[in-house]
Formats: sequence, C-alpha cells, structure tokens
Amino acid sequence: MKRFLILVLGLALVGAACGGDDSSDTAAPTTSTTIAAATTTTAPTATTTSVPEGITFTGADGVEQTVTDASRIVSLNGDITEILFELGVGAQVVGIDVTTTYPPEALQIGPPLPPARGLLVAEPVVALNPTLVIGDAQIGPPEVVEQIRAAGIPVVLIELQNQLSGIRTKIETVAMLVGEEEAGAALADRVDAEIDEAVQLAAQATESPGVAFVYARGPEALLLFGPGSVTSALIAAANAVDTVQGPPVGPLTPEALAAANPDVFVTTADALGSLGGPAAFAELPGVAQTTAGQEGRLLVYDDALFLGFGPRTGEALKALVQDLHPELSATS
Amino acid sequence: MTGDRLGTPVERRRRWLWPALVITAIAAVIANLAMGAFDVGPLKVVAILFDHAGLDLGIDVLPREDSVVWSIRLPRLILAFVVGAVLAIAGAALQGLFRNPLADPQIIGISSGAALGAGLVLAAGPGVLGSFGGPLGGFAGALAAAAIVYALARYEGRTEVVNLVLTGVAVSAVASAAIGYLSFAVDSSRLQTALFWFLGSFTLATWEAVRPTVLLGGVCVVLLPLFSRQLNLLLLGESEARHLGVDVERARALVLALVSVGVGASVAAAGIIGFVGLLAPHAVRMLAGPDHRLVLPASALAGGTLVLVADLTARTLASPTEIPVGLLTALVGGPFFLWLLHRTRAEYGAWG
Amino acid sequence: MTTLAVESLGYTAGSSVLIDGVSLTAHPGELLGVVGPNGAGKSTLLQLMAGDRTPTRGSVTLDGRPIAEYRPSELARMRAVLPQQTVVQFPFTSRDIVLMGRHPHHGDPNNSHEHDLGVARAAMAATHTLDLETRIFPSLSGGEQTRVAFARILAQETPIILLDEPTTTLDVHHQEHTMQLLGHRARRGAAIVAVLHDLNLAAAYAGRLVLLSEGRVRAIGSPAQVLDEDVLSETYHQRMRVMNHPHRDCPLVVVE
Repeated sequence: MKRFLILVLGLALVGAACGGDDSSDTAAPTTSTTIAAATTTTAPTATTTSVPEGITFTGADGVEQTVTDASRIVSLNGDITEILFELGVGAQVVGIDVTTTYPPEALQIGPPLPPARGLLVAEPVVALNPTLVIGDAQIGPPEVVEQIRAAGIPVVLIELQNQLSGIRTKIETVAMLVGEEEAGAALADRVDAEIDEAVQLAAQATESPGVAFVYARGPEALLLFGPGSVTSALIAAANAVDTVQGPPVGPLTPEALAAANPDVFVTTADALGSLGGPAAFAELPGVAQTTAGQEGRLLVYDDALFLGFGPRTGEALKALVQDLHPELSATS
Repeated sequence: MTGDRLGTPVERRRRWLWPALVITAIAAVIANLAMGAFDVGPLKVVAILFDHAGLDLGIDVLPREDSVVWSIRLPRLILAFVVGAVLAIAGAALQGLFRNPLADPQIIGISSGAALGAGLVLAAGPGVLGSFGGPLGGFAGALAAAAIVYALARYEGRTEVVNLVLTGVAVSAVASAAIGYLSFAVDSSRLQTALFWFLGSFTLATWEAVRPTVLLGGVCVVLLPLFSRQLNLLLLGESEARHLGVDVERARALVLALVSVGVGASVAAAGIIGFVGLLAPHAVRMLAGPDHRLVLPASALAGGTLVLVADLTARTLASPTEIPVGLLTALVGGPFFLWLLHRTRAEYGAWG
Repeated sequence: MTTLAVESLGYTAGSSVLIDGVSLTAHPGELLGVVGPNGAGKSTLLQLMAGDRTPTRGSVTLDGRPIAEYRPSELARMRAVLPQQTVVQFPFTSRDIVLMGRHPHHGDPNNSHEHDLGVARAAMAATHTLDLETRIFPSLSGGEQTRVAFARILAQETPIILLDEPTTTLDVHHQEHTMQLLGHRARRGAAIVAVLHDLNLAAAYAGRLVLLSEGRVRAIGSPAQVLDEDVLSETYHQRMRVMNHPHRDCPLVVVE
C-alpha cells in the first residue's frame, strides 16, 4: 500500500510538471499521464488522490485537474464561498461570483464575476491570477472553462447535491482541494449534527403539513420547485410533505398550485421582493384557491441560507422545522 | 494619365483606401491583443507573438501572460476578424446579387437559417463531423434560408426592398421559433449557448472552434471576389448581365452557396451578429464607389476591423462583464439601416 | 458576317399568344425596323431574338445554330441588346457603365484595358456623352441615361445589335443622331434590329420594316411597301395618310 502511494505521488508530480509546461503554449487540456494512474485506483466519477505537493481531482465535467496551490482561490458558487470561509481560508479567496451573498466579508473581495450559473467569461477570471477556480456542475460554457484551464489554472467543477447527505461530500471535496481535510471533517460533522438535531426535533411533531416552495425572478418568471430539488429535501427533513408534483424546477401555473394545494407556502426574500411583497404574492393566480393562501401561511427565508446546501443548512432546517411546527417551540 | 485628368473625388479616395484600411486593421489587432481585464503591455504582446514564431526578443514574459494572449485573445481575435470579414463580404455580395442596397445576411434571414441548422446539429450531436458539424449544419440552414428568400422575394428579375425585408423577417421568425422550440424540446447542457446565437458573442473562441471557421470562412472570403465582374454586371439587371456574357443562373447559385458557407460557419461559431454586412460595404462604397472588384475585398477588411473594434468594446466597456457583441453592432447598425431606408425613398436611384 | 434568323416563331404566355408564326432574318449591313401598335409583340419578339425568352414554337438561329446552344459569353461577343430602360441603383459613373460593355472582350489576349478605355470613350464621343463621363449614372436624366446605355451597346462591338425603342426618351436632335449612328453601323456590316415607335424615324432610317400586329407579321419589306395607308389605318385603328417626305427620299406618315 505504501509503495503504491509513492507510485501515485510520483506520477502526480510528473503530471503536474507536464501540465504546467503544456499550458504555457497550447490550448491542450492537462496531460493524460495522471488520468490513467488515478482512474485505476478508485471510482471513475470522483477520483481523489491527496498528496502534499498536489491533488488530482476529476470533476463533474469528467476532466481531471491537478491542484498544487490554493493560495488564490476564485469561487464561482455561493455555497462554496461559505464553505471556504468556514474552513478558515476566506483570506485566500480572491474572486467571487454573484451567487455569493454570505458571509459579509466575502462581499468585500471585489465586484462579482460575470453572470452566475451560465455564461462565464475567461479573462476576468484569469486576470485575478488565481491558482484554483472552484465551481459547481452548472458552470459553463465548457469552452470558457477550457480557456481558463489553457491559462494554466485548474478549474474544478464539483457535483451538484440534492440530498442532505450530499452536503458532507461537498464540504469534504472543497476541504480536500484546499488542503484542509481536518477542518473539513470537523465542519461536516458539525453541519451533520445540526441537521440531525433539527430532524429529531421535527420527528416529535404530530402533524406533517403540506408545503410548496415558490421561487420567482419577477412576476414573469414564476417557478415551483418539486421533488428532486434542494428545497424538497429540506421540506422532507422537516417532517413535512412536498405537495408539488412535477419536475425539480417547473413553471408555476394555477393548475399546478391547485394540484399541490399546500397548507404552507415557502419562498425566499429575493423572490418575494421581485414580486413586490406578500400582498402581491397573495394575488398570484391560483394562490387564493389553496389552503395556504386562504389561511395566509407564507414563510420567507434568506436566499443563500435556504437554497444553498452548505454550512448553514442545519440552521435553515431548524428555522423551517420551528416555523412549520409551532407546537414544538411551545413545548420545548 | 487618364487618372490624373479624369480624377474624380472617388478615384482620389480610392488611392488611400487600402493603406488606411490596412493601418486601421493593424491598430485594431494590436489593441485587441493588448487590452482586456488581464493587463499585458503591447510590447509583451509583440514579444509573445514573435516567441511563437520562433524569435526571442529578449523580453521577459510570464507564462500566464503568454496564455492569455495566445490561448484566449488570439483565437478570439482571429474568430472575430474572420466572422466580420465574412459577414461584410457576404453583405456586399448579396447587395449586388439582389440589386438591393439593403440586403444583409441577418436582415434577409440567412443568419437565422444558419443558427437553426447549427442548432439542429448541436441538438443531434455532431457525430462524425466533429468540430465541423456546427459550421456545416449552419451552411445547410443558411443555404435553405437563402433559397427560400430568393425564390419568394424576387419578382420579374428584381427584388423590391419591401419584399426582401418582409420575406427575411418571416424566414427569421420561423427559424427563431424553431430554435426556441429546440431549446425546450432538447434537454441540452448547451441551452445557454442558444442564447449566444441570438445575441452574438466571441466568448467561446478556442483554437478548436477557430479552425473550421477560418477554413470555411476563408473559402467564402477568397472565392467571392472572383465574381466581382459578374456582380457589377448584375447591377445593370439580369437580362443585361446575360447579354454581356454572364451565366446568371450559375453565378447566382455559386454566390449564394459561398455566402451560405461563410455565414453558416460564422453563425455556428459566434451567433448572429447583425448589420456588419450593411455597415462595411456601404462605408466602402461611399469612399471608393460601387465597383465590386474593390468593394468585396475592401469590405472584408473593413468588416473584420469593425468587428474587432466592436468586440474590444464588448470586452472592455463593462468589464468584468461582457456585452454581447451582436447588441453593439445592432446599436450602431440599426439606426444606420433606418437612415438607409429613409434615403431609399428620398433619393431613389442614387445609392452611395 | 453574322445573320440572325427567326423561323415560324411562336410564344405563348399562359393563355395569350404573344408571338404567332413570325419568320424574318436580320442581314448584315441592314437596319431592320420593327413597328406596330401597343401590344403587338414587338418587345417580346426582340426578347426572343436576344435569347431572354425561350420560344414555345419555332427557332431563333445565329449563323444557322440555335441561340440556346451558344454559351452566354459567346453570344455576348456576337450580339448586343439595348433595353427600354437601364435601372442602376448603385453610384457607378457613366464611364463605368460604358466599360461594362467591354466585358465580353475581357480575357481576350488581343484586348487590353487601354484598348477598352479607348473604345468606351470613342463610343461616348459618338453618342455625345463624353462630358457625362465622370457623372454618377443614376443621377442623369432619362435621355442622358439612354445615350450612355447606347454607348455601352456600341462599345460592345458586336456584329448584331438589338434595340428596344432606343429613341423614345430622346429629344429630336438626339433621335436623329442615334438613328444616324445606327445607319452608320449597319453600313459597316452590322445587322441591326430596332423596335421603333416613331413611324417617320423608321421610314427615314430603316432599310426594311416589319409591321407587327397581334403577334403576327402584318407586312414586311421596304418602308414604301410597308407604310401603306390602308394597312396602317387598320392596324393602328387610326386613319392615317402617307405622302412623300418633302426633304427626304422616304414616305411621311401623318395622322388624318
């Protein structure tokens, strides 16, 4: 086993050196030397090999990247930024994108990089001189990711998670990339404990209310999140029923609302703001015909807190449990 | 001798047109390579270019500076220039072919057809065609749109302005709707890219994407000038051109095919960038007259330069965000188009 | 010497017969005038002779060979065509337009740009348009445009010239001048076919006349033979008198 690790370490070093040379004069992706070595060791989807001098990681796009230096990090996702700051490497973050809204010191880093989850632009990222770019599987287009890699900068895209158990994977992956495995394990333990606490609290509830999560970017872009979404996992963990039937993200129509007929609506502060406030929400077609609409039950949470699967998810879940089951707060 | 005695203002301007165009193009190339979010001085840019040509100028260059210039800016610059040259020369050729100064690949619907063709290939997967799949799909779509517009907008050998523009609008609308449907029907990670086609951008330029565009766009830019004389004669009218020895049907088919090859490749690589095909040829005609032997190659150079400037503006104006370059050209080209339309009525006959 | 012949020519568009059994020959050295009332098929006949339209029946032959068998470039060196009107929407100068007439000779090793320019300027001098040389063609008056277009036809230097109403937009002086130029070309061996509206111009300059009516040849022959009072009156639905021209050796047609 020990000899095997030395072999992998040697190959990884060769790979890192080659990658550095190549990227300076061609657009070729990192060399394949380490891919062969790495894929023979573990599972093909997320292969990790941690060594002091370099970490190789095959991201969500199937491209292997070698990270040798995490001293200048660009984060292209709000959850990842949060994790980095929780891990104590916030000072190493040199660039953020618009999905980063927390913690407040992250917003002092500089203007956010162009559009979130989508049309990335290479040069502003390269101009920050990062040694590592971390984003999630939604980052693209692939050509732009390729351009950043061509400048010799590893871009690691980590898998999206839609189960609460996936938060640990996400935290551990980020921690591994920046060489903070111990802090990562501790953080993941803490988050898991918080989630467990909230789940256990919820288990004491006697009723399971029906819940529908509504998201909006203005009155023209109304969405209903369904099974498979991040919010659906939170609702289930809070001992409630996600009554939405449909895709993880689908259009909000009066028919869909009538079919869901939730007891409680949940939305985010930004979504509500884009609609014009609670009164405007109540006027949306179909809302008044639901139980939640008639009883005026609408819960509003901070966007990053509620939608991001990260260090504060336990906190978010606890708030949701307490709001959905007011009887628990009274007894405890 | 005759030149001096008969020198009209246009003939005098013709003499400095090429030097002026070449100098402007070189300046635009250097500015595009030297400017951007990442700071690389012009001297270093020159050193990097020479270094890749095998000449060491003894100027220290960081590897990252090299990659930004060589891997991000240079492919983007080449793509922008080729796309601009193709759109401009295609516009000039279409204006001659349709005897209509308002023809432009976007206005008459060829660009939308190309976007649909390229989109279908992307949705189906390029398969054996590889990086040529998008451009060839674009070519097929462009050719289909060109044939439809050509067949429907022509009446007795001429195309009226209104017919041409309206047919183009209709073809564009159908193609746009089909692309919209495609992006709903196909669950593709390239959905974001569909947005690019409507707005136009060079963000996706990599060496791999540049290769087919340069090859197919090059075919269009190099071969279209061979039809300069025929296009000149076609401006007299179709019968007149035939009386003067032009095989009109053949010339028309070949010019449309070449335009479609170039526009198909351009749209597949960079989306719909409008009005370049109007702005560049009209600027050249105003300066140097309508002779296609000059208008076609000069429009290509002017169009390439114009798009370089537009892309530089798109990259730097709102840095670190980028403005889609197609929005910029439309912002400048739209009013120009309206002015041209106005002149059609005010001054029928004299196009300049 | 080149001869353009039309044999039993017929042309039908939809249900209307535009040309019906026309046979005639344009001989070298001859100016053949085509006259007739509106809608008689004069322009259609000229377009058939130019190869712009494909006949429904009969044939158009150049030196015995059907014109459809010639390549466009071959035809362009043998016959020139002046349309009723030349519409140009781009700012070419008059000289550019006339030089386009030299296109068929492009690529001929015996030809040169200097020669083309010389021929073009000679044609412009002959049509009194040399002073319009650097003017923008679309900005010229209708009559000026016709004369420049006529110069383009002359510059093409073909043994056959077909003209559709070359004098309609011209003033009296230029009408006479244009017909004199055509007569001169004919005497030098060209075969010329001109659709003419003005019967007296036709009578004065054409060696032979064809009178068309409803797509058929009503009369063909010398002006004196064709310009018959009864035939003209019937064809044009207008009483006419034919007398001797007081100063020229030709008939004079006047409306009664």
